[in-house]
Amino acid sequence: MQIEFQTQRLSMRFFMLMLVLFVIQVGYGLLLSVQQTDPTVLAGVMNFNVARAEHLNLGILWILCGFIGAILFVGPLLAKREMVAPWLIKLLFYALIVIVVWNFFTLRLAQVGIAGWWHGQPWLQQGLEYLEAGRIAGILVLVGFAILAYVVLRTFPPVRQWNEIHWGLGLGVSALMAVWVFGLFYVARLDLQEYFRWFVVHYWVEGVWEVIHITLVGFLLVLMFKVDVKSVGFAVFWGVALVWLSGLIGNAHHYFWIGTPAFWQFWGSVFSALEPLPLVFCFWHIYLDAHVNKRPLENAPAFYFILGSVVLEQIGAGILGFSMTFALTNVWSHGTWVTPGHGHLALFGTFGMLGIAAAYFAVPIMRKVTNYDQRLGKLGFWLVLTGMLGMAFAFNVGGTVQIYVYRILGLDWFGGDVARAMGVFKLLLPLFGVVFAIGALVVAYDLITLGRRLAVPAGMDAHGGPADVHPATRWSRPLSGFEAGIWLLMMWVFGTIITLGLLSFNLPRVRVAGDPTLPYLLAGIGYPGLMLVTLLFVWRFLASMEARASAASTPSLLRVLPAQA
Amino acid sequence: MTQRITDLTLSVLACVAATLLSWPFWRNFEYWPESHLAWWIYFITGFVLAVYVFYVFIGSLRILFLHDTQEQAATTVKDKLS
Repeated sequence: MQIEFQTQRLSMRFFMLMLVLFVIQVGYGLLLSVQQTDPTVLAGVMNFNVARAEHLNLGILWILCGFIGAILFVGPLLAKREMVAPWLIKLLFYALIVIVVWNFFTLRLAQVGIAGWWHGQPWLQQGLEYLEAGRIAGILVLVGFAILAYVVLRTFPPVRQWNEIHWGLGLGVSALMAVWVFGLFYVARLDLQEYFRWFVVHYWVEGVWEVIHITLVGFLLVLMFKVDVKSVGFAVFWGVALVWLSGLIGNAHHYFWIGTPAFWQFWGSVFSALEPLPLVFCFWHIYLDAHVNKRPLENAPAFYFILGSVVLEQIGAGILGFSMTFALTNVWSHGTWVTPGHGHLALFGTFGMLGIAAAYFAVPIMRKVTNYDQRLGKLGFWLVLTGMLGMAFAFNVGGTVQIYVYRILGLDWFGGDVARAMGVFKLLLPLFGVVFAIGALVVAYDLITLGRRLAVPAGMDAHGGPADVHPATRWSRPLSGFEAGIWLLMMWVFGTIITLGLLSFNLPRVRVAGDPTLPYLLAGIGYPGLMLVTLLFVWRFLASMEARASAASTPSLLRVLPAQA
Repeated sequence: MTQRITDLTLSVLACVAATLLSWPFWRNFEYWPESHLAWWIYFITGFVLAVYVFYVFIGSLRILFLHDTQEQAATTVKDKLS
């Protein structure tokens, strides 16, 4: 594929900024994992709460960079014309850098107790969890989203010519801007403020980012596999519909235990239980689209990360999200390490991996590299996937111990009791964190230098493997729908075991008598089982896809027909 | 018709399981103590909406697989012709 519209090139700068911010964010994550084991590290220089806020905010910012890059790359293809007002996109890029720098420095003011209030508003930093940025950064972000929405909607053809992909992206960029407004004002009553905070955090992630995610996954599959646009359009339509049918009320699972009325417990729980449905839908969508025409995998890293995005969405947001959103399980899990176990998989997996996938798809095209060495990209994928699954395991099992020691035994939250009990998992976190960080560096290096290194060595195929591979096992045979269903079922079986583990904390035997056997046993089976099955499934899926690449002779990589869109 | 009844039955069963897991943590009717009727309306409305969402999911998933089958058939015909 060649660049069809010159304005697609504007996406390159966003992808590069994404990689830089990603690496810095991972650096903060490593620091946090070290501070968990030794709280005195950099105390007074970079306190834990400040490093955590930087880690969170950078995480959101680099993912947004990836989204913007992906939207700018596919926007002209969808519109079949150049993007309008490219100068606004350039302005957006510099504004984004200003926001990042501003946010970086103002968050550090928290360490010396400065919020920068003026006329009743926190202009420099406001300290609301996940929305730490001050009002000035908030307004700049709103302007940035308005620019993005304006450019995309003006570039698109008239509404009557839209297909489901246009609708998904159009609604996504509009809602991205609209939902942000809820975080822009300060409410003195904390319980009321919490509603608005969760409107942004949850509706952004599950109401807006999911919509953009489903749409971009669908369109990337159209580009990569020449999938029928109508089938993808169907998947996008029902994916978005199910996200909203379940997620809009499902948001209520965030209203438990924060001073909001207790009646939210029933609707919040029951609709949260339905929130994995669109993710199951997305799982089948990618399986069917990738397997329908047996097309060889031409750009392996791009597809690896798309698959990683959908599978980690399934287990991070879907299964682990499901297990802890019922009032009867959430009462134990909320605010513990069980939450970041779910959050890391869901946020990085679903949205981060999609941004990286889009970069792997777009960067070789923009750099006119028709035959690039895909080995580093694959290596980077396996490192970040394994690292993230390992971190999620450490968070979740550590969180189970934390629930028992803190919530059941009532030992000291901030003292040494909990820390000692969780010791092994506090050590596992930096261990897997290092694996993840190496993967992040490999991915960043690969994408930044892509096309500037040597081409694939002689005697190798385009994917960097020996040209005539004959697998010794049947691991690379075509993946059937039945087998994919069995893998999905296994994931959910382990998810059920995890859910039962959290429910078992309600039993008098655990809650009153203090016997941790059952929750520990169920967590000890559920979490490692889920992580292992996920790793094996991704391996199996990709082995099946890779077998096509070695079976077919592919003279040119990246032969994609945007005209199909 | 049989299909619809099967889908509806599956949806109801799934939502019964979800409801059993979703019973409020405090298990009493303290928020609107003056009216248990309000609580029952709330529970029933939530249940019916949940059944609808699940029913929609099953229906749309079936059509997704149908598209796949049709595309596969079209690809096979194309391969045979070429």
